[in-house]
Amino acid sequence: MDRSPIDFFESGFWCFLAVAVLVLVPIVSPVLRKWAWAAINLAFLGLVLGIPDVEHAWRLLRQGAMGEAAATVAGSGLGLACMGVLAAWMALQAVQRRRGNLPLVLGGLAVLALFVIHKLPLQTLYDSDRLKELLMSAGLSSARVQPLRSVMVAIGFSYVALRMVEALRLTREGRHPAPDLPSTINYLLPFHMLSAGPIQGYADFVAQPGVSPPLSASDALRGVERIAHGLFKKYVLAAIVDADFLTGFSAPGPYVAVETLFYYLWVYLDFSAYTDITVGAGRLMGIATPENFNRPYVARNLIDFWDRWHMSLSRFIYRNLFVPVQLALLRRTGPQAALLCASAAFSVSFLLCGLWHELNLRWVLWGAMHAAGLVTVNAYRSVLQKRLGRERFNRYREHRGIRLAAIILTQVFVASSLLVASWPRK
Amino acid sequence: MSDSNSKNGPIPAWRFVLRLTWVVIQLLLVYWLGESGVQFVYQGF
Repeated sequence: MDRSPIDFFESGFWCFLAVAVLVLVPIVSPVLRKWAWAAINLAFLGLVLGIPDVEHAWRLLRQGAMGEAAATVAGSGLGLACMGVLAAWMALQAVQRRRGNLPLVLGGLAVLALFVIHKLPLQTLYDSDRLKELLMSAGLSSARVQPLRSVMVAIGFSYVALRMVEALRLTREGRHPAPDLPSTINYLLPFHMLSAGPIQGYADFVAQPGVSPPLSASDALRGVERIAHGLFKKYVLAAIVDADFLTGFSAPGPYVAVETLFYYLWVYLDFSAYTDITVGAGRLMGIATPENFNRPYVARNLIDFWDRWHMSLSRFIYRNLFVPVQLALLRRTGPQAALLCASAAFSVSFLLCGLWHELNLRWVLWGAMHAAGLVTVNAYRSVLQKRLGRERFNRYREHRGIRLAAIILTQVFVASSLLVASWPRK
Repeated sequence: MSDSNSKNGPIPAWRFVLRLTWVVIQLLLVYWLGESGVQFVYQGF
């Protein structure tokens, strides 16, 4: 998963948050607020990615070297990010005009190509002579790709790509209008969601009010509380688990089993801490920020687990992969094959979900494990419902012992899948 | 929304002070334990 180089011990993030709160909260004009929020997001990107050498570009411009001046601006991290946003905005506008499927296909392919460049290890790309030749002929030399990759890592491109896919789809289907330029910046690159999501749905983004309600002392405390809770989780609890219980799976013998559970705990503490900080920051600024976790450690099966863990991702998968695949299959087979269609939809969704995390066999295996688990849970539930009838099935679900066993089994399964994905490479 | 923070409405003054105190304690713990404290706890085991 992406981890942006935002260090919460550095003052940059907090200064931007303070400025954003002071600027955004008093604004009562939706248009002004939208532009101010976009300016803040771009300024933060400038801080993280580096701003262009404007003085040098100006000098070149005065000497008449327009091309070189443009290259100087575009060559900086901020310049690249701005060009990306501009391209995304133009693609969305073109998709809205509905001139055939070409803009949608091109937009989708561009996102996919960037995603592959982002995820594949650079060395893998250039180790293969054929691929190297192909990339060089497309003008993508190693030296050119590297700055692009740095920008994509810094902005958490995995999350940006999913937001873009959803905006493209909903715009194409005519459910929501394409965003204007500031809204494109605000939807794709909100500075407080860069580090580790969440993946805000485009419909949620469009539905949020143009102006936030006034920030009361109670709301401010709730926001600060959430941030403090996140910092405590990340820098105290997760750090203690990391220092005292994790060895990178290098400890011999049965400790691997113990470490697997502690690793799962660490992932939860670290990842949910980011969400706490993000949601708290969003609350302070009056920017709707989706939740990502809802006590996943009490999930009693994998379906329940994915309703509680990385919820913004699982909801994205549900809307954009599971439902379309399931409906397409149901149209062909009819309702008698509903279970089979759901199983196929789970498999496609979670294999792709694995590849979204990392483009390698381990994460494909992780996806396959979760797909197999989800298919099993769904089938088991269906069989139980048929055999027991509604009343006995509900009694079965409410049984305390069964519930506890189910929770333990689910947690061990999830932890084991993380072990498969994270086992150290020799 | 999953947590109690998502509840809206004004917080009574005494709870406000209590919760603010807990925020300050957490931030102080982050400051003290965040960088060197983890190592200290580790050595203690």
